[in-house]
Amino acid sequence: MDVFIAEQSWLLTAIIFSPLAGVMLLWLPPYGDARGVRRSAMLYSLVTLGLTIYALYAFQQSAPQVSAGSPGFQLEQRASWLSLPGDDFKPAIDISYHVGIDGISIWLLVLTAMLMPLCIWGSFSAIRNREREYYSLLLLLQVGMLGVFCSMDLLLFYVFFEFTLIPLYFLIGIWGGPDRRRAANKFFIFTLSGSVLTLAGILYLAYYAYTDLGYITLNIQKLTELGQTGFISPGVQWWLFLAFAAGFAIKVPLFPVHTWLPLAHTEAPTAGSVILAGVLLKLGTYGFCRLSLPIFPAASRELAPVIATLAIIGIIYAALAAWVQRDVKKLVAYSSVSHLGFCMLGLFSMKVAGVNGAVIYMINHGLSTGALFLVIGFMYERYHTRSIDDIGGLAKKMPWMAFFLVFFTLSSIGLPGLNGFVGEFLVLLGTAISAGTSDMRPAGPLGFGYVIPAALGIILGAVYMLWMCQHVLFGPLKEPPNTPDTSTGLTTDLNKREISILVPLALACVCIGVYPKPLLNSFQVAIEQHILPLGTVYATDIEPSRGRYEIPIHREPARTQHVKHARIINNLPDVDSSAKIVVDTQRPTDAPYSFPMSQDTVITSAFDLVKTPGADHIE
Amino acid sequence: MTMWLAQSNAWAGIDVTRHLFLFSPMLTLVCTMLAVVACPIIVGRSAKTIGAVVVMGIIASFILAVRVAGEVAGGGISGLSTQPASGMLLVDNLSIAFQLILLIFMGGVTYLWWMGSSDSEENAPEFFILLLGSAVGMGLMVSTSNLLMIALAIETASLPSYAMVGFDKRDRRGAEASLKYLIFGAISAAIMLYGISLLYGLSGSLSVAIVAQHCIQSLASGHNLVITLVALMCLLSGIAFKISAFPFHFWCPDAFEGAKIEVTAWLSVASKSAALILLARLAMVFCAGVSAPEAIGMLSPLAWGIGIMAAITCTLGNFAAYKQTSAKRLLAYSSIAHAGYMLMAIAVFVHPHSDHGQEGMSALLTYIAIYMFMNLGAFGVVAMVVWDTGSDNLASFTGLLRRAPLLAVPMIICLMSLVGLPPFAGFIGKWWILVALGRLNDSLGWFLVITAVVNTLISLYYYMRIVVQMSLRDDGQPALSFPLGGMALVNICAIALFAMFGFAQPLKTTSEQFTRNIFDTTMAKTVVVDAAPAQPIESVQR
Amino acid sequence: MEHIGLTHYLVVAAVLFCCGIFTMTTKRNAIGILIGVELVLNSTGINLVAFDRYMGPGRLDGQVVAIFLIVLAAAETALAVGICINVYKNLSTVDVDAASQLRG
Repeated sequence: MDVFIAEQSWLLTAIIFSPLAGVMLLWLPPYGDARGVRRSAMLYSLVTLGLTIYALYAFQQSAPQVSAGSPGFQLEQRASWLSLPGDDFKPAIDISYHVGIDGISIWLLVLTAMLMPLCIWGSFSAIRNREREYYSLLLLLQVGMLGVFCSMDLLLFYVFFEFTLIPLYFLIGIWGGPDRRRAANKFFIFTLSGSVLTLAGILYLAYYAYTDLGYITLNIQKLTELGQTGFISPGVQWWLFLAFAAGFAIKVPLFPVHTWLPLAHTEAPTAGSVILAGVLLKLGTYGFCRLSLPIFPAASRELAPVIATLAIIGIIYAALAAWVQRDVKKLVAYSSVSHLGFCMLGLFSMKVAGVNGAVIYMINHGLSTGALFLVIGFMYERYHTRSIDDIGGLAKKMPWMAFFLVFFTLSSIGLPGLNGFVGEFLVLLGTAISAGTSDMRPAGPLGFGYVIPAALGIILGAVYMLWMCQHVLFGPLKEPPNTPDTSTGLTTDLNKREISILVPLALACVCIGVYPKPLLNSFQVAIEQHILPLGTVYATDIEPSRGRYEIPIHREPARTQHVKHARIINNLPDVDSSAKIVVDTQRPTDAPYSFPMSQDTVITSAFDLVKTPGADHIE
Repeated sequence: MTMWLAQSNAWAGIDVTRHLFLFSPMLTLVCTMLAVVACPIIVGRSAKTIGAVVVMGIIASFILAVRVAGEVAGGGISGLSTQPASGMLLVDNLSIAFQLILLIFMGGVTYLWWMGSSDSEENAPEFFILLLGSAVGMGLMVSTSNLLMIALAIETASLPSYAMVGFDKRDRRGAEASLKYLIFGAISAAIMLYGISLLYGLSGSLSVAIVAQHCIQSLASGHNLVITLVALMCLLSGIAFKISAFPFHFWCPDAFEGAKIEVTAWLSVASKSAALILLARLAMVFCAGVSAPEAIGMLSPLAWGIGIMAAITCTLGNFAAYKQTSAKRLLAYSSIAHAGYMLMAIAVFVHPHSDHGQEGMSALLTYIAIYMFMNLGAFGVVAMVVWDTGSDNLASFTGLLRRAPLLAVPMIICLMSLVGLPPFAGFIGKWWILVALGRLNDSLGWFLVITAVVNTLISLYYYMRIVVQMSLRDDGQPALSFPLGGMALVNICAIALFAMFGFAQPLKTTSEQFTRNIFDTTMAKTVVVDAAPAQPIESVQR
Repeated sequence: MEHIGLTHYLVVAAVLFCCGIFTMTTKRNAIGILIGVELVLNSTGINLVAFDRYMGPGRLDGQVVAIFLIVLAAAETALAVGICINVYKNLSTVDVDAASQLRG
């Protein structure tokens, strides 16, 4: 069994770099013709998908504690990368190639791996020049996205995060629409300038961690532990949160910095749009979820109203902006801005339900909006226009396209029974209960007041999306002259290839809509362990009195017993002895726990509240 | 023959066979030179034949260098002289590491030349004699801590370089470039020699270790202070000229632009990094001699001096590169900037707080190894564009991503690596230097870190300009025809850059191994008090 | 009258060095500059031999270096003249100011 696990540790690395191997194979002579290139690119992306599905299987199989090292993370692999030993004068540096997945990242991994073959398949007829470069860039983009979701080291995360810029820049800049140069540059400058600030934040965080730990590390879990135990002072958290948010908010995109997105979406080739909406925007929300919330809990709590307000402005503003668009693609692009606002709202409710909703919203948005961009792309290939003014009444002529457009529209606006509904419901639920303490977390920063404008956004979303469907599909038939263009071998309605691309997406939408439980359970474990750990004890709360320490623990009475691991360090950084404190559920809520200790012990962190039945004792 | 030498009285106490073996990589290059001289007489002047002979020589030398590397891993040797105390040559991990890098790079340059010029060039033997000659000079530069050998090695490296820059006799630009290179080189060499004569007079020895002791004494005591400073400045100017550090960088863009592209590639990496390692070794020996507390105080200004020189060099290189339209000239300025980054690593171990000079040294070695691949790749692509279009103007790169994707992609990778962007090795090179600087944790360290980061951002602009020119602009020029071998070469460089990024830790470990024993060597083997202690100038006047 | 000592030689060498530097900086003719370089090299030679002579018996290093220096100077001059001839053939002058094709 051990051997099996050890072999599996290569699995994530294989997944991340399999598209890269595909790129290299694509360029090896003998050069195939364009057809061969397309098919081999498709094949390589399917290999990645296969590996990812195997990872999903392995993830479900292996229990969290089997994976040595970090609790809750599985399929971990760790190799020293940029580390240096330290000495009396110089701090050691611990930066490693460290990958692993938890309940959130595995599904995002699956989403990425699933969208890529569909995108490649969808580009078969749309891309007719320089195909080898095009498919190489798509596969490279996949490397970056997969890497972000697997990274457990902040520097590695950042490298992959930034790397996604380069292929998409070229995809938009070379294969985009008429205004592609401007779109590519705007996209590049926006995202790069934000992430420079993030880099500055990362470096400062490393330095700050060094002042606590005595060595420089960018291990995300280590940093999470520091953040959760209050070793990062609220003032510092505040600035670091802003630095990280600068990079992530632009990627999401949050309201005032969203302007690059509609342009980039409109100009990008179809596959670029699908990937951009489906996965790349999630890098921003994933960053908030994986880094900002756990590492800077105090700052997140403090700044959540600001973020939530921006998110709501974004929801409403983008919905109104979408309504007046004449370009169908731009309309969907604005709807993306609006939807990602919901995601942010859910995340910053800081409730398990809200975050759960936000994460499933990420998946849903990837599926539905990705599919919408595909449908619009197929339509564009036939009519060479996306303007609502030029086309209309296509339902009779193209029943299949009409079916899928309506289907994904309904999924996107959150029809109960389809996937969108689950996410929206949980996000609004989380926002509404945010101020309460029903999930054992401290009272969240949001409240019912945020739900009402957000619900308005949902209604607006339904209005503009259905309005678009009505104009494009129903009413009198309206087509530009000489269309539909079937010169490239397309049929008037969607052909079999195009239908087969959309069917898996539609199936996924239905499955999630009807039975979201596996996903939600998987997310829940990850959220409870990594994003909003239970019973956070702030080290600042520990009175520095000798001999006896008192830790106030926030908890709800009449729940299962919780064991508190307090990591105790005997003034030596390497000696690590754990003491367990069992929380007595019968005690009054606000009574602090106290436990004896020897004179020279110092508590550095108190972390990891796990559900374990046991007696009231101290180990 | 060697047995006899070993037994004769004059060579008593020295294992000649072993010493010759240790020096064999460079001797092999010398033998290759002789073979190239003999080749036209025996088999003819065909460029292909000569190229094959040279490649064989390089391979033989490389194999020997690998074996020598195993031999000296436990500690180098300073020898090849009857007096161990004043060893003229030394062979240690560092020198062998550089020779290995040099030989790989020379293989790449030879290959490039072979593809580009072997059909048209009639003077192949002459070219390769010059190339091998300068390589031997560079190999010697890194394996000595003797002032005479330093002077000889620098001249041995320089003289063939002047000739190589002006190798095409019909090329006006080449003639002009070689004239400028020659004049700057001759002046700085003369000044350096004058400095060496003063240092000899001050210390009575040519061994850098002893010279360093005397210099530090006079710096600490104020005795002969001015002469010492002048002499050190003179010595430094000769080395700074080879590094093309500010204010001795003027020759670099002109010489690089006028020279043939293979020669430019050769000079940009080999001659600069040889001089950097030489300077590093001198700095190391100097710092090793410092023990008195009052003398340690002298190191701080020295470190600041080198640091400021590094900062100005890289800032200047980056700003001057901004408005260039010639790819060669742009890369010339970029190489000045990179010399600045590498100089920063030297400032690390001159620094009095840095008791682990090895960290800076291994950062430097890593950077040189990475820099070699970046520049070989970038110059390789430029070479192939020049061969096809006849111009190295940036306009000839327009739309290269469509015209020749298999050249444009490695070019993009090399350029991004030169910027220092992940996921390419240039990032790793900068990372280790910045880490070494940051761990000094004082004003000099942070000053240089900020300078380097700001410079990286500045350089992003002009490198990206080429990338944009290649990828997003297109004026419909026809597809580029290029030799397949050249394509393979630049792609190997690109893959190497990617691999070195991923395997950063093994790379660092290797370079640490190659710099591990140098401190022992220079101190234990050459810092031996001279049998006849030198007398100060005043006391010997009669 | 004072005996001729090391200082005298050093002063002569320093004067020669300064003349060389002056020549290098003022001459526009490449040959002129190279003559300046030769002056500096010769001052170096004087220095080295003088140090050997006055710094105690049994010293040869300086003289050895001086001999190397002479060879070095000869090699450099040969190469320099070759390059100058080449420049003259191409540009019809060896004035360094005329060599202005490469700039920027």
